Amino acid sequence: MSRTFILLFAGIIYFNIVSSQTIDFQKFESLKSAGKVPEDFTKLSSEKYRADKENISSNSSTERKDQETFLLESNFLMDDILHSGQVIFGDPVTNYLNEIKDIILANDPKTANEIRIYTLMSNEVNAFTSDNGIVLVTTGLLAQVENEAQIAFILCHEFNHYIKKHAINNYVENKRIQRGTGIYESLGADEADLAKFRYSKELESEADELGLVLFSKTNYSAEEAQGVFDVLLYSYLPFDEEPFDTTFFNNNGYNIPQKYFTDTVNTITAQEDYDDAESTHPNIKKRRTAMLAATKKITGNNRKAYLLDENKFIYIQKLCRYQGCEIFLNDLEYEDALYQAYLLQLTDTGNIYLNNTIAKALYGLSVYHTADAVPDGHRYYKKVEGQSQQVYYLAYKMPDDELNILAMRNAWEAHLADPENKLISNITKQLAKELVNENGEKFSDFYTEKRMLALEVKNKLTEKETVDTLTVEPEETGKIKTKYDKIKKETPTTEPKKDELIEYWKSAFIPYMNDTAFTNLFVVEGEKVEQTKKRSSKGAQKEYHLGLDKIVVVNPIYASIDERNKNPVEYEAAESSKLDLKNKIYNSAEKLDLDIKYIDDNFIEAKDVDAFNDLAVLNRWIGEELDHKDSGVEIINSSSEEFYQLASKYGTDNFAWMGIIAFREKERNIGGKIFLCLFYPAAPFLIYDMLKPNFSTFFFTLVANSNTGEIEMQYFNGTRLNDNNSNQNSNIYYILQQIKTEEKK
Amino acid sequence: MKQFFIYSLMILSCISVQAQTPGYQGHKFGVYVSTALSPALYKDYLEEDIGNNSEIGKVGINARFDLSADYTLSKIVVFGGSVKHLSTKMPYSYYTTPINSDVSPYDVASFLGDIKLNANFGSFYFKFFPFKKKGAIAPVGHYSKLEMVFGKVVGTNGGFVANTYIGSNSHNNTGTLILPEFEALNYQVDETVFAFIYSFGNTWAFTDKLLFDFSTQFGYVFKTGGIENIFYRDNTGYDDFYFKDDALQRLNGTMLLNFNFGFGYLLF
Repeated sequence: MSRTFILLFAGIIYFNIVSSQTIDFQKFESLKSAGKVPEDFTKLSSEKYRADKENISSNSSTERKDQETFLLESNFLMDDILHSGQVIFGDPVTNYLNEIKDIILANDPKTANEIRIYTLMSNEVNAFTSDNGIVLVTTGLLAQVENEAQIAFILCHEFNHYIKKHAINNYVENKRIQRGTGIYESLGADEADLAKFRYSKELESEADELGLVLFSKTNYSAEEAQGVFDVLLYSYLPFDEEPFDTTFFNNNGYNIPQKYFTDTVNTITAQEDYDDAESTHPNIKKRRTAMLAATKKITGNNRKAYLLDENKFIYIQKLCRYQGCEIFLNDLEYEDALYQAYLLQLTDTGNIYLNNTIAKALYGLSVYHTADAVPDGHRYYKKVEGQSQQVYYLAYKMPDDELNILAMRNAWEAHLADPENKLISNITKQLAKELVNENGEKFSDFYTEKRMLALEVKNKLTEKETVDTLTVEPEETGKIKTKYDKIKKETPTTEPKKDELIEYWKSAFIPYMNDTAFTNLFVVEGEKVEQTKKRSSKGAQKEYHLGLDKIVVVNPIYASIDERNKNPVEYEAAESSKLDLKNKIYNSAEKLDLDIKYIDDNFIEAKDVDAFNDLAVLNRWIGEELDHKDSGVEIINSSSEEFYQLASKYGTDNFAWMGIIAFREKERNIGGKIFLCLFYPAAPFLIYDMLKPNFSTFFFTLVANSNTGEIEMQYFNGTRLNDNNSNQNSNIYYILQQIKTEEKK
Repeated sequence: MKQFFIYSLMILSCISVQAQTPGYQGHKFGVYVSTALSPALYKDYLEEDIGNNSEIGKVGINARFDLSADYTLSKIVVFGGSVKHLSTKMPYSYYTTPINSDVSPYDVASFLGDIKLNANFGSFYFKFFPFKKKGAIAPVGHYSKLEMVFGKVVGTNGGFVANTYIGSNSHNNTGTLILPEFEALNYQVDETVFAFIYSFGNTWAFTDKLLFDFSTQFGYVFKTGGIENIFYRDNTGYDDFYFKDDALQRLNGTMLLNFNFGFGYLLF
């Protein structure tokens, strides 16, 4: 009886745990950290560096110095990544990875304890290991692997990077190559580079080899893991290769002409036997061959692709693929976001989150198109391989106004399906505004159902139904044209095409033409143009008067760079200055009676997981916002939904990103100053001036309103002064004063 | 002058409208004490060898003491005023004066020795902080300063008293009476002086209240009596005029280049 009760009780607890982790994919939200914040995220970088420095064992002073530099840089850079908002812990994906780690290192508790795995939210297919045992696995990798055994193999590879201290060894060896000492004496610059790549490849091969030894100690199937090299080979492609349905957007009389789609997509050209001389890793063929040879030695009948529940893998992979949509949107890779959501929709038909993703992606494409801008790093459609090229082709070929209409249509559909979604609602407003003001469309341009019917009748009467033209330029598609195709092209028809008789885009809004909420968008948003222009011109003024009483200061940045030094970035000094900055900001705020809430990664404690997640949201938001700013495009940020939610939590709509960057460089005009020393009374001061560095300190602040998503203040002040306390206090006070004070009437 | 004040007020009113005045952490009114040091290169005589006219070059430092107060009008302009005291020396000066022959067989009396010049000034100034160019926000950081100085200079005996040398030096070979006191010449050095000082410097704040200031100053004293007096001196006349001129020249020398060190306190 008691045993049954215990089992039942355990079952209930298990069910609760599992159900609490289950995510509703209809309302998917970006993955978040959970539980206690690990020490890796709370300990100061300088403390980590000092602790690691104690363990340096090298006798050579040069090597010791190299190792110290490596530890300094790697600790600070890793912490930058950990605090970027892209790394999460305690979430289902990280927990899953840790379960696999426990299986792999079941017989090595010491290493298992030393290694900490976290998930990096990136669509890159990759995994990284730091010298102090942090392993980062990307969601992009998990979205593409075929089974659990492949994850296990990758982890085994990464664990051996840690065990063999590859990161620090690689750094020290590279320095040795640079100095040309020992066997690297008298190497030219190119030879030195090749030597570095060679050494890196040796380490990778060793990690593969030892990784396989570790892998062989588990019950994972080596055969199942072999496919991992295909994952790596095709990692630049989406997680699946399904043809994009060219009628995907069509319904209710709205049919996108086929001329906006390509007949053939670029073939996939990935080669596994590429020249790896200038690569850090051996080519795929070499790695695959080595693995095949080694796996023959791995025997055992009980080997499986899954040692954990297969459904768990499927669930985790789905999470990572959904997360991929978020990341693509955040990275302004709208075509990829659209294609990824399309692929997911093939199995999750009618999913609200995916509908919203498609709406957001089309919105991004439309706004960038209309602004004649291209996000940084955007791929030209001709360079894209595989089925996703279809989406790139469509986005490239479709004119601004038609893309705007397509985006508007999808956004309105998404809004109808998810009316509470404020972001989608705002997107519909901006698209309507752009349609009227930028692309010059009027509400009366669009067909009603009645008018459409009349046009169709007229069309039939002409009895000149033309075949929907699929005229595609041969040089663009590579399609081999027949003799008859060529003849047809040379004798153009005088008959109007169906597309010309009934312009397809005019039928885009037929289902909503009687919806007053929809029709009002054209009127209300069209009128807003003047106000918008006024508001944007306000942004040009140098001094701000925001009139705020409360603000959240988000993770201020402090960078200190002394260009006179071999290693110019002063990590420790900057961290210490950043810690002081908090007091300076509070001090000035107190004098101005400005209520400040401060979220800073350096002050996150183990219990502050919510603050950590908020910081991640804010980092993602500002990252995307700055990308839009770089492109010069005014657009609603794709991660605004999470940003909106923070307003009520912190009791203010206003969030400020502040930062200080201090530079020191050598005095340049030495000759002129030596000449001026001829005026001998001034000589001591000129000599001092020559010896002291040139200072410049930059102060910047961005204040964003989470309710409107607008940047309300964009302050920058470049001073020719040292980053001393008086300069800092003076600027901080002035920045906060602009936030606090209202404009005089 | 009237025009100058009107223009100044107009500038002030323009810059204080609309613009925010952060001051230093909200503090706008500060008081300073400072010392302006100027290098002085001069010729002097050894006291024991005075009869041989053997000159020696000397380097000295003139010090001027300032007490000033200023108010931050905007993030680029500070307005202030100061009182200054300067003490310097005209070494081994020689001046003559007519005397009553009833009193003495001599008809000319001379003073030979050091003359100490004391000057008290008042001034008002504007400091300009290059917010747009160098990012400095008044009242700390780089600045340039324009200062108008008004004051009076008086002369008294210096350290070297000439009466020891009556009848024994080259200047009294005609039997000139050497007066022991400069004041006995009855020269009135009570000249009103107007000077202009341009400075550039830097102010640093420590804690929330203390300030340290360093600046390099270039000054010019107007009303120096004309350049011809520097090169030509008529030995037949009396030296009242020359003395005034020399005093102003000396004053100009001390104003020409100064290095100013100051400490300040932000009152409110």
